[in-house]
Amino acid sequence: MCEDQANAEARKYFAERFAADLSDLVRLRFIERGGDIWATTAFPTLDLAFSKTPGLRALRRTPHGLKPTSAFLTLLGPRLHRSVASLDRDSLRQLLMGRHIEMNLTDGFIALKLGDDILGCGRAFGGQITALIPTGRRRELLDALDLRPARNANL
Amino acid sequence: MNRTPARPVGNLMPRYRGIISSWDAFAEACDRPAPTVLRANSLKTSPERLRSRIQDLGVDAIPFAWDPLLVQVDQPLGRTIEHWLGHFYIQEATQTAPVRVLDPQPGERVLDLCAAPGGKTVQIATSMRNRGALVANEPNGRRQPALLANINRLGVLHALVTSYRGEAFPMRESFDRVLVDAPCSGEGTVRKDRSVISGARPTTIRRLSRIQERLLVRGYDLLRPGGTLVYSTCTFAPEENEAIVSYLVGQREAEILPIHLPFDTSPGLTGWQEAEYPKEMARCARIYPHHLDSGGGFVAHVRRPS
Repeated sequence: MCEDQANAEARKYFAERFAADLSDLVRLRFIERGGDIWATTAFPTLDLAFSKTPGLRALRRTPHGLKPTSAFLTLLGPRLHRSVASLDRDSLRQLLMGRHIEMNLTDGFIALKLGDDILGCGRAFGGQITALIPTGRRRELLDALDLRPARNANL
Repeated sequence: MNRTPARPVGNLMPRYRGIISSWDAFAEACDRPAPTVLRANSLKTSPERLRSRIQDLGVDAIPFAWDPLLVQVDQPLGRTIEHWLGHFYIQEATQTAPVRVLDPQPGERVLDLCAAPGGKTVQIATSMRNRGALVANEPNGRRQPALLANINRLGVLHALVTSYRGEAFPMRESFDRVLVDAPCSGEGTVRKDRSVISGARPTTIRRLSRIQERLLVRGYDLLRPGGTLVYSTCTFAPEENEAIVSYLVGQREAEILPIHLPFDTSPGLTGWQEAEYPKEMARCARIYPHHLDSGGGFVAHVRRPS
């Protein structure tokens, strides 16, 4: 895929799914490498073929379509206006423990939010949502929020 | 600030008694734990917002007068949501000096030749405001995950991670600025690592100095004409510091620039034991734990003539 196609595809995805306003990220460019779409501001300062990781991985291609990475959603934070699940601590704990909770959002990938902070990626399907934050980061988040159960954390 | 009880310093690095003029202050600083310092990540938050959130946790947050991004805190904050979100990086104040001297600017091409775990990489990214290109090189596969994790956590968008051996980094690109924060014997970390209290072993110093020479020369060769480089370590051993910069001066037409830091430092040495170094080595900076109530280290600022 040419660079312009990946850039247009990613911008369209974030605009349609998350109503994301990326207008302040004027130098942001999306490029495709190894089947993933990366967000970078290094273009065109340096030949990006120089590295397999040319910025921050923003989107992965999955059988369910494009999936945003938790790291990139967290970076976008307040720029996300749709498909955002606002959680309380107990709901978040349930999700981080690998359980689902009831919430009516349009099916597809979503952003998980606690207070003012976007914490990462989740998925809505059939009136339920689950967390898709990577396992190691989930553990760290449980610790950070002091939400880890005393034992038998099933992660 | 809470202090844990002083720990005996024992036979504290005896070979440096002759070069550290304020020995008692040095020994006293080495004898107590270093304070916890955070560097606010301005790619994701502001120092004011970070301080406010930290204070909401019931933690005292005291900003540094000479760097508004640095905050001293009275509790460890590595397991907080603010850290998880990448709002700050935990970094000794001394460790911020090399990038402060490097002074990378938005839009430039910058190479961090020995990047893991990434503290200085993200500090460079902050200075560049995510604009330009930052190549973060780390050849050690076991250290690279920490580098990538920190780049992701702190929201760096213009870093390209590579994994070349630093001394063999390909010459196909040139850079406006290069940081060679070399692997070293780590004597400057004595406040948190008591294994170096009596000084590094000579065999360790000799082994590392050979690597450091090659890293510095390659880093210099990767500069564009007129570009600048910072060579830094967190050790006191002259064989890993002034001797390495002297080696570069002997090999290349490198210009050693004076260093201006907003805190006390000691000048680089122009001689050590039997060795004599070029007089411009005095332009380098030695940082001892008592200078900044932090760790120790060495910084040299080098320019490649146009």
